[in-house]
Amino acid sequence: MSDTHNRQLLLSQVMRADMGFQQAIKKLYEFDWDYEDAPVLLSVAVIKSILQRFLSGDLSDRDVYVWADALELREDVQEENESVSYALHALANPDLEGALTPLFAKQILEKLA
Amino acid sequence: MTLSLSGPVARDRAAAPADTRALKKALNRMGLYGPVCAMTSPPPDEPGLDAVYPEAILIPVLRAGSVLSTATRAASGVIGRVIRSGQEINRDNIGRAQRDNLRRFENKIPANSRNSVVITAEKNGTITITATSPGKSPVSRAVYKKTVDRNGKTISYRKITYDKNGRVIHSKDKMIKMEIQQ
Repeated sequence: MSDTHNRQLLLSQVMRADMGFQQAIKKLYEFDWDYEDAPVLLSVAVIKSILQRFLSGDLSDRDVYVWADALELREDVQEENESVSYALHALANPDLEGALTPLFAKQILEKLA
Repeated sequence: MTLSLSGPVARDRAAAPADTRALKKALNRMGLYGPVCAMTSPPPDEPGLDAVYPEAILIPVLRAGSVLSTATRAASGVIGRVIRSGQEINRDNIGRAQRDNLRRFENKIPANSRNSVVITAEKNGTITITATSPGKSPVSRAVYKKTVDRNGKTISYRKITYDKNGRVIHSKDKMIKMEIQQ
């Protein structure tokens, strides 16, 4: 299996935020930062799913922060559109954009709709 | 008057002199020609700037024993100043691999920071690319700082977050999972 394929599998695992996704994040740091192959798509549906899981209590605000922090700025991730880029930035930067609360999560979801 | 060659140009001597001789003659006619300290040209893989700007021919111009100015003749033919470490530079003055890296950087930073990109020359052809994304509170901001070597490889990528008082609250290495809490 190629490095690129491994990387894409790990990214998909992180994006789904399945159990143990933090282990997958650690493995991602073993790859070079620079990347010019096909990126993995971070879709509107994925962000919505993460926020809905936060609202249902399946993910904590800390989980969401760690998730977003791991994905922001990565060259092997392609956000589907500007609203996804904004959402990822907001979730990865609570000190700048505001802490993740149920109200804020709903506001982001509205922007994604 | 001395003329010394350094770097790849020494191996590629035949290619450079015609242009150099023309420049030397022109400067001589103007009475501006002095000791040529170094003459370099970019390596074949077109890397970025060096501390002494290898994409240029450096000509310190001496008159009456003092340095009046330093002219630079870049590969593009533009006359400008010598680029020093820490100096802001234009994106046209970096190598192709570094430009590719810059493009990837600009594609990933937040939309509200895309007009703030600054490129700074560092030692050994390395560049630092910086962009600032303002936060919701005045003064709060995230500063994205990427260092790219002359071959276009990212050496470091840091995000520094400032609170509304301008105090650093996070300094994160995006390439290594390590967070420095202030």
